[in-house]
Amino acid sequence: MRNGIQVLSTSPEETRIIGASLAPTLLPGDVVSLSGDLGAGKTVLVQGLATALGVEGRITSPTFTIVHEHEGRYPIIHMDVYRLDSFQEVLDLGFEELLDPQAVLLVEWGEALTPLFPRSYLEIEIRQVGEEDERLIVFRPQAPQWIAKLEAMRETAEALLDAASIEAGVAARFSLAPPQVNPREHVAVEDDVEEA
Amino acid sequence: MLVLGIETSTPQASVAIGSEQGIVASAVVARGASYNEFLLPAIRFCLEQSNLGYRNIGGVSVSLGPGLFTGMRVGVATAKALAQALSVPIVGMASLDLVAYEVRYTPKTICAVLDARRNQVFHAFYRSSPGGIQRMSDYRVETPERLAIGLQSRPEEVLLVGNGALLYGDIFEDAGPIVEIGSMGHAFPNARALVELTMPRMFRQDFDSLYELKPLYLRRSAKPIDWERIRGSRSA
Repeated sequence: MRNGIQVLSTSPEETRIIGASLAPTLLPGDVVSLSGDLGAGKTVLVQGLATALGVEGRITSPTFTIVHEHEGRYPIIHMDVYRLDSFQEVLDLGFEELLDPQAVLLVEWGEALTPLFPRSYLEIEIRQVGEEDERLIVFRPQAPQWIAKLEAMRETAEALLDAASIEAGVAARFSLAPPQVNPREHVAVEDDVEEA
Repeated sequence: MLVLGIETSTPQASVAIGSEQGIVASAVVARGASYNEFLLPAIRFCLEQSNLGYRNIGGVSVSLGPGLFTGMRVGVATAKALAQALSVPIVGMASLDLVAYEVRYTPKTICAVLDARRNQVFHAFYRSSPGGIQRMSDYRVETPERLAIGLQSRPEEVLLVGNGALLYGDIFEDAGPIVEIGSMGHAFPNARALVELTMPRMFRQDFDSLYELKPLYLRRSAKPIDWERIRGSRSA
């Protein structure tokens, strides 16, 4: 579990359910990074997550607007850094304030910002595998506190996926994630952010 | 001379109007309204309650941070707009100076520490001097752990004050018996201290340039985001 867990989703609907299953574990101050190519389903997962956190209305991709703020059970900040080129641009958005202890922060292409992230966050990677709609969703805890949250998420997801699907053996699709190829080195990277 | 002070560099925003005779009105809020929702209504409230108008303002002082990004932007932009519209001088002061100034009567070394988010703090060291404080270090941003190591190497007693000192109190207290943490009442820079601290500069006509004044940004990064490496690590 230290390396995280992964789950195979066969449709955007399932990805939404998986996103929704993470919602009850999230608390204000939590930071979630979402990785995956364009069209992988990062925003789809956020839609399930945000709706389960009580956000009403449509959740759209912030690729061009960069930051969307929603009001749910907690304030939810949904950002996409794909169009940013430098850390300075991220700082100029007021990134420190987006790391609001009162809000949940969801960052698409978050792996680009790891030097600016707090030590504790959850990394989610969505990979296209096999069939067109099939996605491997990998959850990697970047701090021990996320392991229990992922256990709870898995239980909820298995129950919801079972209820939503007539296929048997849905729960078996969760498995332990393989070790991370490129573990994030926070302290080392932190020093690269020039502090003048 | 009446000076309007604007302090919005931390989650506790405040405005104050005062002269060399003291503060005549002040307003402070630490939750709810955003900085731009709070600022102008608060200034109007202070003016109305003290039977004053914008015409009575003889100078504007503003906290330049270091602090939270949006607050500094809103505060400095509002202060500059008012100074320009009223044709009065403007003076900028550092948020950390305001925090240290409030505890200037201690014989200890003062370390003003404000929460910078992302497990970092803004800080600077001071000692009291006749009539005020003297800063002994640069304004810095670093992790509380690193500041704690810096504290351990100091022989003298240090009073840490500010919301960053409270937030990471455990880490700083581990630095040894020479450390004291200031109370909640002094946790945030405030506009009353700003007005008081600005007054001598107003009288000396030691003004800042309206067009050159900008917030103190301690975090700068020229580093580009390495998109090629990020996409490469994905396919690997």
